[in-house]
Amino acid sequence: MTPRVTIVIPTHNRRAVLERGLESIVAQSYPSSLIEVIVVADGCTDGTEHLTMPPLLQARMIAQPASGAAAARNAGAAVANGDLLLFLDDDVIAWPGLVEAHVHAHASMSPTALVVGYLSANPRNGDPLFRGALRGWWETMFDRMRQAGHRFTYADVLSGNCSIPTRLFQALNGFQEQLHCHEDYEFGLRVLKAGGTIAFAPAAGGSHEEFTDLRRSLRRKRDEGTADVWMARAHPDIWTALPLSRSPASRRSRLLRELALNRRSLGRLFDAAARLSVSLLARARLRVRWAVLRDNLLFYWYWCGVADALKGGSFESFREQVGPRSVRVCELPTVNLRQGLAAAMDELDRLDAPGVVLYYDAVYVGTIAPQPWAEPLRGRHLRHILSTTLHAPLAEALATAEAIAAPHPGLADTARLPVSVSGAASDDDARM
Amino acid sequence: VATAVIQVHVEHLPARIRVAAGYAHAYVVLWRGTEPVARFDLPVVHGEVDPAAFARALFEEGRRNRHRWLVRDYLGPDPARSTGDVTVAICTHERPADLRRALAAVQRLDPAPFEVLVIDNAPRGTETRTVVAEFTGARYVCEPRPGLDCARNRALREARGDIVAFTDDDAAPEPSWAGALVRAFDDRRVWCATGLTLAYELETDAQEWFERYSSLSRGFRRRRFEGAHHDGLSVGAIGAGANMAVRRSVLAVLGGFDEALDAGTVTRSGGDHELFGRVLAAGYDIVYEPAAVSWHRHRRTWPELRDALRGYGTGVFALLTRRLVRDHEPAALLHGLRWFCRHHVATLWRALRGRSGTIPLDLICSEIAGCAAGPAAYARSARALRSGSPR
Repeated sequence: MTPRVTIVIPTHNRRAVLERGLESIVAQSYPSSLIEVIVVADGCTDGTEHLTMPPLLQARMIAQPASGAAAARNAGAAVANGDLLLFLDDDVIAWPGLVEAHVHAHASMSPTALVVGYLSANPRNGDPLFRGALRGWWETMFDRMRQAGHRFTYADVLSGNCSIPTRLFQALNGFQEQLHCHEDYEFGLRVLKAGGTIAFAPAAGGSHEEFTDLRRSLRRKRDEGTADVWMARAHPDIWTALPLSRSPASRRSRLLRELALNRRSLGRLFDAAARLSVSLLARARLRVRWAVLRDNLLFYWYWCGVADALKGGSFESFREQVGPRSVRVCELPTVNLRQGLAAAMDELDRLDAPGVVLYYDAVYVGTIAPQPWAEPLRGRHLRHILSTTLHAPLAEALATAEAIAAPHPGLADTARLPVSVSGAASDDDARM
Repeated sequence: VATAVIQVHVEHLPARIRVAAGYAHAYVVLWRGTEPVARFDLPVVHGEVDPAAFARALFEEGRRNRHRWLVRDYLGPDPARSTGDVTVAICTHERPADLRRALAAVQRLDPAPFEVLVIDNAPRGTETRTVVAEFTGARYVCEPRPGLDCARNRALREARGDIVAFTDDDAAPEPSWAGALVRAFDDRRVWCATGLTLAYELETDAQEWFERYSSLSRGFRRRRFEGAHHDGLSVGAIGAGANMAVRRSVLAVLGGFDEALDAGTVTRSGGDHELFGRVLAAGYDIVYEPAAVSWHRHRRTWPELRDALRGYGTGVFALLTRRLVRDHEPAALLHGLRWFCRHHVATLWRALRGRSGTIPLDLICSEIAGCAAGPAAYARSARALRSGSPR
């Protein structure tokens, strides 16, 4: 099977990087006759619209007034002729095998799969500490998906390098144009809810220059807060997966949240002081303190984004509105881990249940609650869950089950001992 | 009096652990399946390890780890994963007898590595070349520029595997060593892994003191040092160059090992720890994997030990000097001062008071003298490196 692939690249005033990206598409191992490129210039003022496309490519340019990356991707997809849509960011330099690896991944998957490819990041801006942290954050995102038994969730979708059958994309009405951030997560959620799957293709890779610095990452965090409020309103069933549903863990984070939500003038003071300290700490290379303060700043700006989206409304009333209204009592099937891991995995596959309660014989181990934001629970996920989130309860349960199940033979013997020396027994009783 | 090195498997616990004559203590390494789980220092009475002390140690260890073992046994071994090709590199300098033992151990590695390199650093004769020729499959490479880090970088350049596992010429890895180290690299953020180094023999006072004061062992729990949450300076707990593996890309991306550091130069040591710090600072992770066991023959004589400790002192402060001067990290100054006060001054104070069990005075004095020489040594070595003259 050799599907036609349409590559959609939204771009905004980054002509130089875009040109290099297009060069890397010319060099693809996949036949160029089967590749169509659509560049969507979104509110460009640097002459991107007049860019001459590499002659070897079947490429088109669409220009539109600035309306965001989601709208640009939808506009590109609307005129696509390919069987497969491949979304790439304008700064991606594709590895020669990127398109082929996407096609290959789809060939071995169901027709309702969304395939995410790998992107390495070369941080360019900010101090060395920021660059190191950014690279680590970026690789962490992909390593999660590489782990055996990873359960894919809506948050694994990355619109910078992902592919999806055109028909599925159209059936889902594309990206949500109201979102300026996390529109890829939101799309992934709808893919999963429609019964689709998400997969990761490590060979479908590319690299990109990362120009984010601290200021940009704070702005981005604010957008994430705003987007999460939108998500909570549109999809109340994923409430518990959103960071805003978690109550602050420490006194400091409670205070920062309060500053962001209700005392912005004090918050601005904190922001200014923290930004100054962060840059001083970075200059002194005090990494650990720097990381703690940076995380506080990010946390503060996330909640500022939440406050923006609430438009003066209180967070408490918002939570009551969209948060978990009533705990739905859900009958979950049980699985006995006593049968061994392999058999338990098979049973999980057979059950096809949204969640499951785990026992080891009579001993309760834990509950895997339904997660509407993740792919269906399968046997292959079990080992990873047991060795991470349920590790401690499993250990306790195994020890308890062992103690209950196998009474020491010595206990049986004591029953036959001549305990009828009644005096001794009553003495004991008296002492107690 | 000497200490006997003994290995015991929990699956076949002997009723009594006999020890040859002439040993007053036993260094008992406890294995469970294919993994080492504990090490005990126990007294020897009447030609066997004190059974009561062994039983107590076993009980404590079992109580601490019982839950972990239960889950491990229930879940079985980690599913087999694809890992890159591994090149085993031995950097050596005029130690033919030790090298023969190291190469014999490397030949027993299972699975066998992709290739074996012997980097002969600034050789005076051809003895090393002759020893390497005895072993089929080992490739001899001569690196004329003196310095362990020059040899390590040469190994990175010569290697064809994606991962390069380094073992010292005075160490003998277990057959499972390389496989255990390589598994850590399955995670792409991991750019470096270190293993558990145990004493090959404890026959002399010098060897016993080295193990007691400056042990290369970092415990029996797997640890992960994350670049995102690490200060990049406290790297001693990660492990040592005698038992480590790195991605070959550290050469291209991070510039490899600092050739102004480590054995063969006036800085004497620190090249391994310096790279660990740079890996972490770049945002990558390091894994300490105790299942990767290697046996290290510590220095046998007292003067050798004193000299080694002096070298460690010099290396640590040469490294911190590099951090301060070349990497512009003022935090290195604070770190150095704190480390000097908390470790060296405190140890010296204990030694001066002459409490039993404290380190002999000449050892700590020699280490402190080494520390003092560190900054100047780095400056000299770096200058010599730039001008290309021998150091």
